[in-house]
Amino acid sequence: MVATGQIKIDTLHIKYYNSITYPVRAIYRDWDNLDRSPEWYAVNQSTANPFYIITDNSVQIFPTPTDTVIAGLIMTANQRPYDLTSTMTEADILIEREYHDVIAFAVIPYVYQHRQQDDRVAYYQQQLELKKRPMLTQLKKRLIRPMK
Amino acid sequence: MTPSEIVQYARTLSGCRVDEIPDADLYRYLNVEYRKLRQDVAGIDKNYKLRTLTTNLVTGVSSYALSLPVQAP
Repeated sequence: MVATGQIKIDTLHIKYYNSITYPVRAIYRDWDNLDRSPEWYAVNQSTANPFYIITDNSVQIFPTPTDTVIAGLIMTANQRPYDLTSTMTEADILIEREYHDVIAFAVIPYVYQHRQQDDRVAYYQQQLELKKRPMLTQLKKRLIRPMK
Repeated sequence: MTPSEIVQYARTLSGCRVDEIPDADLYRYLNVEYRKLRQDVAGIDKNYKLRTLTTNLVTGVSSYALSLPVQAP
């Protein structure tokens, strides 16, 4: 599914049948707090009220699906940041593509620090703040739009 | 851009050659700032999602392995 880093699941939706239009949100439950055995929930839990647990690198959903649905499991997740390296791809960067130039710009003050040009350091830090502002404004605006 | 393209772009913008600051140092700076930017982005709203993951639901299969460690919500 996703390549690198640890993710923290935020929401998980399941579309149990091809015949339904919208997926149903599953709630997270702790393995230790289940009243009955997982096998019971696998069969008896309602598809209208599904839940999931996390085991190692897997999510386990209840009830067990009785239909095969393309893209029937949809998760939104925050991915924990990790250091970028020269072998990584664009998709590994946890900031959207259109703002990658801001990351490059953020390096410039260090270059001038290395050159001991303090006035240039201050100038480029200011420039960076100016570049960051529209990025944060744009991302904030997106929050009010429905997620795809 | 890939990380190496970002580093190259930073070099172009600042006129910084590899013999002035080696790649290893630039990547270190890059990662310091990258983490700060990530915090800014995530800090906008805790519900901001960076990833939407989808997979196929399969008859009789209740467990879906991800290729990375997963944390509970």
